[in-house]
This record gives sequence, C-alpha cells and structure tokens, in this order.
Amino acid sequence: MVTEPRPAQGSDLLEIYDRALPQVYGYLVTRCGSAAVAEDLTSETFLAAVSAIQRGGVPDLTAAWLIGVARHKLADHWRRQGREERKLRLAGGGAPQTEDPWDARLDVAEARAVLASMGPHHRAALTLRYLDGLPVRDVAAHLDRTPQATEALLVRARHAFRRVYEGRASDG
Amino acid sequence: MADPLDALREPVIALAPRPEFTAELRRRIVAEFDPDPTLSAPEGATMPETTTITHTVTPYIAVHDAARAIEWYRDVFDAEIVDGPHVMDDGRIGSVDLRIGDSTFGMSDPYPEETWPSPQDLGGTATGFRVKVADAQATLERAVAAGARNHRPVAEQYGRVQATIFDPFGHRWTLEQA
Repeated sequence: MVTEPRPAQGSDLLEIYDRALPQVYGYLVTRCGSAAVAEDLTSETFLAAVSAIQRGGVPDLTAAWLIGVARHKLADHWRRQGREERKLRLAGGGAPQTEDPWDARLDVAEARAVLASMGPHHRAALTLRYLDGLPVRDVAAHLDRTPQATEALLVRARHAFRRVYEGRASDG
Repeated sequence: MADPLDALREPVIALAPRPEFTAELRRRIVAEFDPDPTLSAPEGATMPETTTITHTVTPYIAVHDAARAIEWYRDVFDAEIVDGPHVMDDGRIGSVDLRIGDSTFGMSDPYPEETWPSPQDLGGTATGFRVKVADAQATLERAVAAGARNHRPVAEQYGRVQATIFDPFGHRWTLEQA
C-alpha cells in the first residue's frame, strides 16, 4: 500500500525557514535590485506559502518550491509596475522586429546594469528567460501571455537590450 | 549560434536579509499559523518552543557586528536564533539569544561606553567556548573557510580530540570531537 504524502504543516515551514529564507531573498534581491522590494516580495512569498499550507496544498515543501512561488511574485511585481507605467505613456510595443544575429561576448556587470535600466515588461521577460533560464513556454505562463506573444516580447526586449548595451559601450 | 544573453544566467545564491526583517517575518508566519496546535507556543512566549533559556548559567558576549555574527554562527555551528535580535534606537543589536545544540548563549553589539567592549576593542579575549561537534576537522575547515583563524589544529589534548579557532570577531572556540 502506498501511503499518501503528508501535506506540509506550519511547523515544516518554520523548520526550513532559516535555510530557505536566504535563498528566497537571494533569488529576489539579485533580480529586482532593491532590498526594499525584495523584502516585500519575500514576505509575500512566505505568507503565500502559509495560505497554501493552510489549504493543505503543499505536498513537497522545499526551498525550491518557495523559489517557484517567489518567481510568480516577482512576475506579479513587474506586471503591477508595468500597469503603472502604462498610465504614464503608451506602451511602445509595435510589431515584432526581426532580429539581426548578434554575436558578442557580454560584459556581465554591464549587462546587468542595462537590464536594471529597462522597463518592467522587458526586464521581466529577459530575467525569466536568461537569468532563470526558463524555456519560453514557462516565461509565457509566468507573464500570462501566449507563447507566441512571449516570443514577440522577447524579440523586442532583446532588441531594446542590445540598443542600450551597444549605446553604453560606444559612450564609454 | 550561442545567444550572448545566456551569459546572464544567475544561479540562486543565498543572501541573508536584515536580521530584523528575518525575525519579523518569522513572527508574522507564527502568528498566521496560530492557533495551529502544532505550533502552540508556551504561555507568554511569542515564538514556539525555543524562547526560554532553561540552563542556570548562560554566556553572554559582546561581538563587533553582531548581525554578521548571527549569520556566521549559523553557517559554522548551525546556530538558531531563539530570541531577538532586539535592535536598539542607535541601530546596534542590544540582545540576541542563539542556540547551538542544546546550549544557549546571548550576545550583543559592543557598548564600550558601558564597559562592554568586544574582542576588537580589547585586542584579545579572556574567555572562550568549548563546543561539542560531530567532526572536529570538518567544523575546523568550515570555520576557516568562513574566515576563522586556525589557532590549534585537531590534536589530542586533556584526553580530548580538539582544535581551537578564533572566529572573525575575535572569540575563541575549542571544537571538541563528540
């Protein structure tokens, strides 16, 4: 007979808290670039875990599971930020551009600075795709878009990234 | 062709948030679960199980940068916070209690103006800890990798197998093979 896995309880969350918290916070702060935002999102992540545990819906409570929750919270954060910025200006979407092949070796510190300067939609897409290494369909799921729309968003985001990156290089 | 943006890959690295944030979020989680019977705290306590120091004598040390020391003792000795950190108006940690194994000790940032200097202020220390560890060599290596000074390598002394380190804050720890 196979025993049902016991759903996680509150004590399980507190037991992994000290180990999991720096991982969740570390994941968030290296991606959102702000300690204050990372703290808010870390709180949201753990309180969401509390709710999920109370509903009995967490069969396998691990740091990796919490980071998955944190990734959704980060995507939500950029979505909110995107909505706020859209009120200020029309989103410059337009038709997807076709891409020139780009063969360059990126200076990672420079590239992270460029990423931090980008708007929330592009930043979200590039972070999930490249920093987290998610496949396009998973990026799409986090951003609530179709895979096709996500591909198009990534093309625009890469184009914008390259423009800023090369602009900075020629300024320097 | 390789995608240049693949260079951005960022593995998850653990970074501790501010100790006050860590303690506050833990309190919120405990409060959310209450009155979950698996977490029922002893009367008067704000956290389950661990807030009371039960031994008669408890060491209490002054540590330069207590916030960083909390992380260090966690990393090297698997210490757990059992109370605090209580942060004073001037930003210094006035008290935090840590537990290693079955033993608890307290610490704070130094208050030299109240005759409570740290080893850095003194240029040495007059006290030390003896801590039982499962593997003295492994703990020694972990401590040194985290910035401790290897004072005495693992050897037999007083009938015990032990090593001695000075942690990065100047406190002396003798690691006794259990």
